[in-house]
Amino acid sequence: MRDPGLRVFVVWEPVLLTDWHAPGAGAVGRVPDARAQQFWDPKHLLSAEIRRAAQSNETGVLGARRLHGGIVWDFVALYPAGVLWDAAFPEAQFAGAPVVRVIDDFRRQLAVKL
Amino acid sequence: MASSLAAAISVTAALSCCLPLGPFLLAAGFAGASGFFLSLQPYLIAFAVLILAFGFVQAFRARKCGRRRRIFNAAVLLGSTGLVVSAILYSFAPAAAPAGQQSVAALDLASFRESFNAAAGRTRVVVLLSPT
Repeated sequence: MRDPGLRVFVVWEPVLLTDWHAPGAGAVGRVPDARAQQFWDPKHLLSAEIRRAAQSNETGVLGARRLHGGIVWDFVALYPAGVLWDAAFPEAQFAGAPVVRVIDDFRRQLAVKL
Repeated sequence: MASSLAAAISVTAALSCCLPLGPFLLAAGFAGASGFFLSLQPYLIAFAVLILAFGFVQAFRARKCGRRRRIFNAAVLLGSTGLVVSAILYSFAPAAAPAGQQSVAALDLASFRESFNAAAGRTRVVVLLSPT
């Protein structure tokens, strides 16, 4: 599954009471893969964008996750080559949350893609 | 183990109202222990700062009472302060990205979108997580 073409965007955002500041070395170090790029999103900009897109297509954007007005987090989504983010955040091939519950399905989907 | 020992000594010393040593050891113990309890780190550091402040108050009061300042106590106070400050700096300093990655950037939606679209020839994964 080590496809050099894979690109991973990891977005850290404050959700819990203990998220006082940008991710430290411990958090960032959990994703050591060179194919990843990590971001800190203190204002939940991406979460808001995903929520906006999900209002018109909840299942496509969020997968198994259902919005109840909160922040989109502990969330993983897979986008095949060719998908572009135009007017709205794009529909995922696979999306789900919490990560621990969907990780097996996600791995299966990723294996098919790579 | 070290934190427990520090806690035990500190409580005994604080209760005895004789030595300001205990609170300093406790503060240092908590700051060090925070490395193992990442999710509790902010609270442990806050607690360490409080205990340290208590230690300073104790030291100040002891001085006002005419007790002689002991070099050992002063050294422990300064050492503990240094440890707590180091823990705070380590905790709040922006983390360097792992080798081979770009530095961790504050998310700007327009440039994130650009990066996402720039990699349109590849399979992409987007993950949203809480640091703790």
